[in-house]
Amino acid sequence: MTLYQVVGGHPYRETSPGDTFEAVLEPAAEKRALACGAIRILERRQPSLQPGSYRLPDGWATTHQEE
Amino acid sequence: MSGKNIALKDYVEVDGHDLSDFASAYQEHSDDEQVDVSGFNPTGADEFLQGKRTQSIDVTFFDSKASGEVHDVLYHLYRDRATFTFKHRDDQNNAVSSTNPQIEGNANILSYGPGATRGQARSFQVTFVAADSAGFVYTES
Repeated sequence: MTLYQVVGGHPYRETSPGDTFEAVLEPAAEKRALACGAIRILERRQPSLQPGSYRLPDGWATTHQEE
Repeated sequence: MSGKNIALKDYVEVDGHDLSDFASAYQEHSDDEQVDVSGFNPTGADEFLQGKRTQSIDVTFFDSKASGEVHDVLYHLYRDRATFTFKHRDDQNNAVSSTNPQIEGNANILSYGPGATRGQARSFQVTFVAADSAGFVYTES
């Protein structure tokens, strides 16, 4: 997911100039929109796991031990 | 309440760009090939099956060469043989719904030809051709 701001003089994907939107744009479409100055990227949000935010299912470690 | 309305507020989006303000005419085409499968029969009548479907949408645009406007958007899509999203609905002031459905799909521009007539606003027609098997379809949400 990426946070974009519409910076051209016209709406982009139904978002008014100056406003922001979150989307996963198809790479070629994003490249074209950036090239013509319709949008700019504010933030790339990469999915990530934080330490301590997950755990293995109960019993997973004992049933998946390497032989 | 009648669903009749006057075409004034149409929404036209090409590759994410709102080109509604530059569009003045709109026409959808969706045509199925009529395939003749007639055999000898007692009545001599023809028999047909519904064959390949071809879809396209014509839009007349006022020419405008400012950044993010008609030429800047459409010419680059044509030049680069790009596949892009196309959307249209009758009323840009209201969200997509059963009474304001939106037709959308992936499209190509196969020909590009701006023109001019002395004393008249520059305008030209662009045909958006459905680019894949999903075609142009109406959505209501």
